[in-house]
Amino acid sequence: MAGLGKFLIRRGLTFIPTLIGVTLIVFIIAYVIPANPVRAWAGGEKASQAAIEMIKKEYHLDQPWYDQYWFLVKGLFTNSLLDPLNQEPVFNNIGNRFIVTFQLALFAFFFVILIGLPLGIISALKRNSATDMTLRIIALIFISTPIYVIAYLFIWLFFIHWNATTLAGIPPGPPHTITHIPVIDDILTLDWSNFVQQVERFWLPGFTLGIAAAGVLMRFTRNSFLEAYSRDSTLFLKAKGVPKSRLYRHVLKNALVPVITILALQFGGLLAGTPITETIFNLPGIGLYALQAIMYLDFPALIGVTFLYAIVFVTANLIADILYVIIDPRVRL
Amino acid sequence: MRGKVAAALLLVFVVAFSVAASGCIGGGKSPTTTTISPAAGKSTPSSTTSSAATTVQSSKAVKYIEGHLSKATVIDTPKYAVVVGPAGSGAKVSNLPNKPVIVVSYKVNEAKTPSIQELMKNQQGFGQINPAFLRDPNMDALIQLARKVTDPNIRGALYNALYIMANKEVPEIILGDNKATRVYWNWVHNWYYNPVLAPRWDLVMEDKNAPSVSIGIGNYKNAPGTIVETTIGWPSSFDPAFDYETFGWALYHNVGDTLVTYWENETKKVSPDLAVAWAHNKDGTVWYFVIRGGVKAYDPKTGELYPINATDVEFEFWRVLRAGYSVNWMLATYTNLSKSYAMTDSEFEKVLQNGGVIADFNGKTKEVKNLNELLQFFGYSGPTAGVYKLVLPHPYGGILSVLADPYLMVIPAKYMLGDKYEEAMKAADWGKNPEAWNNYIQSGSKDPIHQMLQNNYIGVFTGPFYIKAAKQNSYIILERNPHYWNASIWNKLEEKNPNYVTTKMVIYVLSNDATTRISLFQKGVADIAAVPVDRLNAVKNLKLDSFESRIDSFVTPDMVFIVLNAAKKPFDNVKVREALAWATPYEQIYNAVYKGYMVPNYGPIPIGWLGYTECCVIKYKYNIGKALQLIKEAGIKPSDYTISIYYNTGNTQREKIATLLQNTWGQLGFKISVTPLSWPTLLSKTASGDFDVYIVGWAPDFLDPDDYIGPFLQSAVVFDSLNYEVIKG
Amino acid sequence: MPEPIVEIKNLSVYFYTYAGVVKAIEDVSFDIYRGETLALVGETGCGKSVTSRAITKLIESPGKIVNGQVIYHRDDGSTVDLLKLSDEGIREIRGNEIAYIFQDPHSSLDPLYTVGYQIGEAMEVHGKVRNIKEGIAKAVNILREVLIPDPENRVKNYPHELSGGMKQRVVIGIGVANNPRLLIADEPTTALDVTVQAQILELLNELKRKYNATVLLITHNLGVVAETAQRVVVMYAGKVVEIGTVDQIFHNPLHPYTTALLRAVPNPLGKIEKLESIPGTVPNLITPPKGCRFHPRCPFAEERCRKEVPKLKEIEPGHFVACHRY
Repeated sequence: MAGLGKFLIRRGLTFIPTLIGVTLIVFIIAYVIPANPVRAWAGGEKASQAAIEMIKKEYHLDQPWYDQYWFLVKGLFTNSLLDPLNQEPVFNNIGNRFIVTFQLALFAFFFVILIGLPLGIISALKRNSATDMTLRIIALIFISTPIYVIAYLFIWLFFIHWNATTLAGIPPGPPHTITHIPVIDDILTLDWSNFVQQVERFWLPGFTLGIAAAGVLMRFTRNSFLEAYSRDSTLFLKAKGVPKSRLYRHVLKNALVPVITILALQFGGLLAGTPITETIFNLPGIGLYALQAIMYLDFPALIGVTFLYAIVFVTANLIADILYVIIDPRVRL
Repeated sequence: MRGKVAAALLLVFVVAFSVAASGCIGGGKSPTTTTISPAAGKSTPSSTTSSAATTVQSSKAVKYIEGHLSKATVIDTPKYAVVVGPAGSGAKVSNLPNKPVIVVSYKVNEAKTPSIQELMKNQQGFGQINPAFLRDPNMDALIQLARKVTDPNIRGALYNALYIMANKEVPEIILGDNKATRVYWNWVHNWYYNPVLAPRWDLVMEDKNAPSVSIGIGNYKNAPGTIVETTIGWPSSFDPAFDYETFGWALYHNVGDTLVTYWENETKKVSPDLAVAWAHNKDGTVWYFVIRGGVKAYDPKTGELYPINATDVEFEFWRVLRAGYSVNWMLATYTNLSKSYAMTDSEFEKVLQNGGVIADFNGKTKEVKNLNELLQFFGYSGPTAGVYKLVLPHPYGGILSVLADPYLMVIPAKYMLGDKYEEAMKAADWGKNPEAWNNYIQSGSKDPIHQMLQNNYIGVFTGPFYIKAAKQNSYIILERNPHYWNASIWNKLEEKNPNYVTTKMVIYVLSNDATTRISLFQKGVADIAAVPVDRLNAVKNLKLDSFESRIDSFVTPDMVFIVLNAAKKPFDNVKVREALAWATPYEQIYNAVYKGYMVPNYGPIPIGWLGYTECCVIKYKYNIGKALQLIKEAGIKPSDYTISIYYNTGNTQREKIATLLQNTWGQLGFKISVTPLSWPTLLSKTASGDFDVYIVGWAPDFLDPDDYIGPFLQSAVVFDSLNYEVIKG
Repeated sequence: MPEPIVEIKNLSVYFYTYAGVVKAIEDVSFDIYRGETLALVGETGCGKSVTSRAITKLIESPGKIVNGQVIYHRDDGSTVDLLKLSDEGIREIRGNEIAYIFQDPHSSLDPLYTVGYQIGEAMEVHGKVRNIKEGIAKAVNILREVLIPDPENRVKNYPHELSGGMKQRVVIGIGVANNPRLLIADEPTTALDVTVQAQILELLNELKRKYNATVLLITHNLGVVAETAQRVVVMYAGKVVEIGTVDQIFHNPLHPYTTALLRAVPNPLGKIEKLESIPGTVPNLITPPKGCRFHPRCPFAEERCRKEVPKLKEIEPGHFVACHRY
């Protein structure tokens, strides 16, 4: 991979302006809304005028927009910006909640790959057979059913009926934290009892989230596989006398090229948080936080969340691009 | 209170005169515009002097009124007749009921009184002026007077009058009082109800045979002795000075102590908590609180114990005021902390010796001359730790109620100031000069003490529990405080109830999703669940082992109002407002929106509180005929008006109410639209008077009618003078 | 006496599509003699590719070989009907004793593997080397054979790093890697520039000579036929219409289609007034014309042509034609 370094530098240069651009746009949209959020921050109907004035000054809401923007950005990165709704530093809030979302995304992703990939390939191999039809119908059902219906159904089945999961709170992570993501730390520090607890808690929301995405992946994998299989190069391989197993290796590798980039983008999407799943399963993640920030016009939280999203998406795209380059030699950086 | 002597002379004169004179005044049914007459039809049996009987005109009062008021408005309340008007002369009244009369006279300072436009521009809706922007100097006079008066009878009458006036003027249509529901498993025992305070979980017990269920957080289980509640919310701060919502207060009530408190379901009087005894001067402007000795705040992180004394109380109050957050309005309005300070026992003895200090407790009153006497009066014989002298700018009848609020819990100053403690105390002369503390406490959230309290949410508190662990929006775990000063009550409780255990751990499991909370409850992971009224069927008649689920309901002081913009046409006409009150489908709303969990109320004071009355009010019910009649009398053309009803997005209950109103009010001929607004937008528009109608709820800050009447009726009138006279006979 | 290496007898392949059954080739028979270059010509859609693929059952669904035999004569003298072999049996022959070169080198090679790997793979799957590494080492020699300069470095290249001509050389390299007996080249130069065409054909010839192989060359370019082939089979609309030596076909074309085909190729040395084309269009093979499939376009068509399918008749030694005029 020639020029990986140069490529990263080039990407890095566009990264900062992208971040600034995105957050500035979001900020200005929120700024332009003609409602004064301070009253909501100061206690709603019971807000006292003095408190409103005090909070206004504290958050620079009486200053011009560029001053406010700079105040928010600076505060966010020096970790001195407090979320007016719960008095915690925004950076900490986002960090804590992102960990939850990240873990949920990991579990969901696990199921997406576990279910989507093999079923997609099976579906392609047994194309147009009864198995294929059944799998495609099931995938369609899961994609089109609203997630809260699936979620409530699963909760009834797995929590109430079968006791196979827990719904309360978030289990704390293991005592030694390396990456701060509990499941990963559990594996790294071999803390199996905590690992079991994390799995008990997260597998069902991960499964619920993952199932719809797995359906999408399944169909995509199936199509990609069929497309790769129908190419001339496959016929040539047959003409070479290549046995079936080796043939499928060739086809799979070709089929997975677009699939992997889709996966990278899907993971990025999962990291943006899924408010409905988070609400139903009691997981205080980024999705809910972002929603609340919008509802209460919580400027500090909004800026923080937007930064996070921008970073997540730019990174996900970057990883997708790099993966593409690694797998497909035709693609130059 | 000038003229006590004059009143006495007048009394004699009036008695003599009325004996000489004779005459009857008919029951107050003459519709003079200055008299507020009781509703035709229902009158309650509780009115002692029924105005239907012939009444003797108290000419003493009439004369007084004529001599002191230029205009008089008469309000008939159960025990008194309240007459209010601008000071002057020449006011004539004709239907004074035969009962003692309270005459209130005032002089408005027009220059200092802000105009309605000004108040709207300054977004003072629910601030200096009521949300309906209705101006009535009579009401302001009674409101401001009631704050100063300490005699509970007079206060009661004034609040009665305000209740009745609000009922007639209808700046806000009262939808009713909410009935709360409690969903719990019947292994929970002694879960009492208090309208203002959350339950103290250490007083709630559980059956020894209750099942033990794993929760999924660490190794915690929901076993007998652990209470698990699944509910919504998160404290908006772990610093009580920055929290003004119910969940935070519920938490503080369990981890902290206030000077006084309401014990279990008591609502009429306060009980000692951190203060073992209290007394006040004759006019009620100076209060003395004797602080309990031997109370130690516990730091679970280090195991350190901090003894509490009166200086800690003073410092914490000062800090709450200085922090500047909305919740400090009570301290800012009702107390004068600059003049308040902590005293030693000997300093207090000197004050008592000088006389004039009165103690009221358990229905008895006594002037106390020394500390021992005071303590004995309160039945206390243990150690003390100083006395907190609290000075009020005016006497306030509800001051004890305010002090029971959980955000006023005491945190040791030594913990908060850390190594600056000695320095800060010296600078403030150990509390005699509290202004000096401003160098150590900043306003706003940048204050280092605030940030320390917020970050160390485990805290250092004095209450029955301490915070063991918390995860934002996920769970909070409380554990029994091993150094709690009142731990003996637990043993007593267990002795009296041998089949039950007291609570050693409390776990709040937070969830925004009702179905999930219900699921947790169904499995027994939660003992208690917050369930919306339309989902109650899912938790009825559940069984676990030999236990059943229970749903209790009771009336709360939480009320729902429909605010009408009285400064805007057509709501500026009282007949229109009244018509809308008759056109509101109360029963339909109770059933459709609240599933029956609401009861009617006709004025802005919760049912059963001081000032609430069922006499002399119009009992609005859904009556389209009456409504149409009033519209006709008002002389407006309804089709000229488009009315927008605002509610906050996402609040499905208010959305339903608005839709039902649209239906019935529309029948009067108005064009009605229902508009959801985002929360901040709604707050902005309503604060600046830019609305027609909106729906709002109100929950009490403390147990006093002023907490309702003030916000819902005041209109920022400034008086040069405000006086009252009680005329009996 | 030339001996056949492959005898194709009555081969019919149908494609079962949604539009109907396409009778791609019907009753095709001819022999391929050992050591020769046999050209299979016809216009696009006449069935030449299908025929060539059917030889090793390389027909994909929805196509099906409905009839026929393909007798393959091994070096040791034994014969086998390729169409009756098992999947594993035919796999052993493909790429080994009978190898293919396809038309479009850009789509024949797998873009995700190096050319060295792909050449080595051809040897490895037939057990000619122990593992891929050895195969890639041998691939260097193959690359040298197909005249690709700097083969030691080229062997690590990916297909997209090579030009069209070089890719086709690689494909040829794959084809000859296992010393095939029959090399089936399906329009190997059609996708390449004219200048490269000549090189590739020359390379093919050279390798055929070197490996002592037989070549079945499919093309629609009569110039190429004249240059490289010894014998010609002409196909039209899924049927064989004429078989003969190059000399016979070019100087004495018997079938009207062959005649018209030759006339359609312009003579670069003469002055051309107008290009000749064969009137009409290629028939729809779902419902092919009854009788002789060429009759709608044949200037000599008679009543008999419309009803009866003409059979191949030997007119002069080695020269066969399927036409009612003879």
